[in-house]
Amino acid sequence: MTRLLIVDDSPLMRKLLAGIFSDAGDFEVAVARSAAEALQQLSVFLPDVITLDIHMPGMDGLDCLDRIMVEHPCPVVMVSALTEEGATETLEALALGAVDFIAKPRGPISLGMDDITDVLIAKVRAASHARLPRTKRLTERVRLQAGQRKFAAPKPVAKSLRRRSGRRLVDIGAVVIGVSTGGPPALDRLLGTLPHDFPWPVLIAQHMPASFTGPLARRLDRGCALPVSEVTAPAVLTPGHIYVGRGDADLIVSKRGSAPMVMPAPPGNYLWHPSVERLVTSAADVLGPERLVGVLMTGMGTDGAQALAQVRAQGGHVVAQDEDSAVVWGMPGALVASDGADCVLPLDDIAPYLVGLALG
Amino acid sequence: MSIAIRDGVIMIAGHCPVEEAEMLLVALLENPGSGVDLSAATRLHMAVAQLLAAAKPPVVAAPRDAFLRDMLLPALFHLDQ
Amino acid sequence: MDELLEQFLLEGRDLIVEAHRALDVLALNPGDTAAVDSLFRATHTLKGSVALFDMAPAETVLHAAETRLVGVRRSGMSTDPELHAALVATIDQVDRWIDALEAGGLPDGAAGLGEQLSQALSSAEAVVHLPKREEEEDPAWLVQLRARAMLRNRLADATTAFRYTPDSDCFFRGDDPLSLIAAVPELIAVAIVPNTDWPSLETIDPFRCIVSIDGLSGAGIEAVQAAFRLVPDQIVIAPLGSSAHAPQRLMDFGAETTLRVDSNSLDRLARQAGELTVARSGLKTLAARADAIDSSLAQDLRRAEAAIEQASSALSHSISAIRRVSLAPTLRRMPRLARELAESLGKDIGFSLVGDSVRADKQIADMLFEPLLHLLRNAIDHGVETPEARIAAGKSAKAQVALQIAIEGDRLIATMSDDGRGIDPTLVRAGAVEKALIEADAALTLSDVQAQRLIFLPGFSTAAEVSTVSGRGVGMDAVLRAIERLQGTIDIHSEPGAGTRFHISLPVNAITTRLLTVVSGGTTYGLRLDQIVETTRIDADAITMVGQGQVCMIRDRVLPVMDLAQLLGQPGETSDIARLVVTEVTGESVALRVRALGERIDAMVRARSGLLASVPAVGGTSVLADGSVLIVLDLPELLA
Repeated sequence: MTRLLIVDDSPLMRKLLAGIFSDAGDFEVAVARSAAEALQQLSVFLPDVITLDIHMPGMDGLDCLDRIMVEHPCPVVMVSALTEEGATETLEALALGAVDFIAKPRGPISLGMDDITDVLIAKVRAASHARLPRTKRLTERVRLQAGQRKFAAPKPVAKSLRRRSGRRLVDIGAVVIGVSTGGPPALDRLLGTLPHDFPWPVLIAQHMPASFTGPLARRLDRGCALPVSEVTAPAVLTPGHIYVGRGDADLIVSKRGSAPMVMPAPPGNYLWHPSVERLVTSAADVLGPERLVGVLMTGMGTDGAQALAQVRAQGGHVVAQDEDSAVVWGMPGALVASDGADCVLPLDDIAPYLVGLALG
Repeated sequence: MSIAIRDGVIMIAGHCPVEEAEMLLVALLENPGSGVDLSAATRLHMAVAQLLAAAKPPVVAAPRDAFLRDMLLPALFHLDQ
Repeated sequence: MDELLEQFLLEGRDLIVEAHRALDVLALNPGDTAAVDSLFRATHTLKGSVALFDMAPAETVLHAAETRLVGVRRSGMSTDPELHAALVATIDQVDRWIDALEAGGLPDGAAGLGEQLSQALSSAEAVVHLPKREEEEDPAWLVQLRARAMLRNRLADATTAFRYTPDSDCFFRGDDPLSLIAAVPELIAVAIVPNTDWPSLETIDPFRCIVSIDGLSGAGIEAVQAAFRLVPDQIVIAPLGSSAHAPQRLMDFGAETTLRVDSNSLDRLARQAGELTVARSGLKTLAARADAIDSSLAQDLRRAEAAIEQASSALSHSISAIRRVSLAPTLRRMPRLARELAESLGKDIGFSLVGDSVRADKQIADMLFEPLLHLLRNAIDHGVETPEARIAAGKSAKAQVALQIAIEGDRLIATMSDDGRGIDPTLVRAGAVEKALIEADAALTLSDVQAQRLIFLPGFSTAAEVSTVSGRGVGMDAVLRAIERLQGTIDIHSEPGAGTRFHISLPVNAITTRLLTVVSGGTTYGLRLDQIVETTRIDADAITMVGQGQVCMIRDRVLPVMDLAQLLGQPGETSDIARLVVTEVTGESVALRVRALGERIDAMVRARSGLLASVPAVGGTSVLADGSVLIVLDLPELLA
């Protein structure tokens, strides 16, 4: 049984969530009406996983999350509104140590909510097994105690590529990254260590709702030496630019004449969006598989594993994030299981590996 | 795949969903001046239709589907544009 | 799941109460951040809750409300009266919908109402839903639709016309506009038109919808509406009657109807709203008096005054908006009149009219025609030369006369320009002296700009002959007076040989006027704030005599100083500190010296009447909060 603590000030929402998880059969559910009650429950109920509402009177969800991470580190899933504001708050929560987020359940109960409940249960179940990045949280806590909570992450110092004489940069087309649960902080870390003269474009499919990817791109941009932007219109693929696929849509590579383009596409027939499969397939079609470096990172499910295994078989480079550094080792695990990765690396080794490839 | 090139003609067949707009666009760009054969088309997404209206390629064969032939085709190629 | 519904009914109503409590606080103190936070939280939670039930319109409006509140919180600003009103309306409506849900479900038309409320929330202007236009004319889209090659021959068969403008982002939501079109009953013909010009294929974004679809159907309007029920915000539908003047009916929001109101009642309403504004400021005086007796009572009075001010300013705003009408009907005759005049005078004129669709207060629209027609006649008769004279002067035979109307802030700017012979200040001086309108030596002291303004003197006419067109006595003084009656100003920019431009500035709204009160010679006067450039105080020693007059330096500029009391026939000011009001109403800066500067007030200025009508320099009167009458000075006349 998974011990789940639901923290929400709305009795309606508590009732609804408690009903959904009790019906699932493998959850033991407790509820808290406020942040203060939640903190009391931590040492009594000893939850395996917590769902936490952001907007509560008194102590709000972010402050509560902060206390949880200090007093009783435990996987927390934020219950978020699918708004721009909700996205910004949620990204902040992920940076503070929350494992994942779920959209506040919505849609007429009378029409049945099975689609949503499946996702809710899958996400919370996955989160309950998540590894908490404790050490990272420690350094952040030090930073927090210095009194800078919001976006105070120091701009990481990324070393410039040292070009050794006689060796020139390998002409690879692009880096494609697929990532899901636990992605935002991991991307922050990876992109933050890429040098400003990194020579390839980087295309990212991070599973997310539409309203989240804009704030995510802006947040990543603040911590990265390379420009990061959300792809909202067709753009010519530019070296050294980082492209974040728009949420609830797909990201594809195409071309106009000889110029490779990156553009958003209406969501196709895939389970997750932006789809890693579709991004990798279109990039391989237009640029050629041998010119791709694929990276599959933390996240549940298997999106991207098949397409990347194919890229590897056709001469491209493929990296999987390792199990210890991934919050959920679903996608990279599936890639490794299908023998689709050239190497399996801890999060912190991925950027140096990419830089190494760039140096040839 | 409902968009194909055969003997220099862009063949648009069956039900063309939104994602085929990108394929049609690439086909139109790579085969400037070539005609389109719509005879086997049964349903076009607006994204596909607006590309035809923007490019106005010669129509080699009109659709057999009544809505596409009588309503859409004239609308795509009329003079108000 | 009935249990959840019960829970919702309880919780939802609690949240409504919480929201209203916060709104009550905000009514008194729009900047109360705790109330904004509490309102935001209630709205946010309510939005999350309604999303679980079959009440999508409630979710829509609450989302719009939440979005606005996020903006308010982020900017740290206060809720303005329009937003407050829209928020109250939203919460009330959600409350009614909760009742409806309990009784079985939301009524028909809830979606439309929701859209309307959301619009009101997102644009404060839309709080009062205005009738689209006065004339029973086809809206622009329908005019375009009727002209489309694909459609014009089929109009006779059609009962209903529609324009569907899909969101550019709609493909991403899974919409296919074409499949909606295919489902329109009894479709007759469609035209697919790009929203802007077609982009080149190289630059087109294939996943962005860039077209609108105009179409005709043989089915009734309800059936066509039903086909588009999922995209009410992207569709306009109109029935095609037997005549072109069939009343339009946009697919709008159930209960909304256009109400025709007698314009006199509207005038009365506006006057009463103005009186309310005046009555309100009475409370301010009361509060000041109460301060001496009981400061907490004074506090309460001030709060009550603020609440009334919010309500009354919202009321004035709404009335102003309702009173604004298009100038098009007023100006429609201008081009024709210009052609007829030019013909009768044997002149070759190109007349252009820009901005006739600008909207302005009804009073202005009604009264603007006469002065503009005068200016047009003057331009064609006196301003523009004969074709022969133009060719001799090296100009094109065809003269250009243009009337341009635009809104700048809360001013309506009308510019009548011609490329004729211009106004020669020397000739004007001579003419004015000859007609004994001014002494010869006084005429010589006038600057060129001042001299040109002499044409506004009664009885002045620059044309040597009396023409049938302009006539005698209907000179520029009538124009000036008409503009001033509308609380406007008129400037002349003229270059001899090159042309003349009359620049008229009028308020767009004409209900209350911003006044500055000043004291001069023991009496309080009102000056219109829009005639004042700045107020300042300087040492009286800094005012120096130059010839007959006084001047001072203000920010490196030398300005003539005139004593308001002396202008009004009383002894001048003698204090050590001179308080000055700078105005440019005559085309040049003048500093008016007054004894004291008072406060800025919103007041309704009545046109001068009765005894005062014959007193020059009195622009009108206003009743002050304490019941006394304030004389509002007419600076242009006073300084002329």
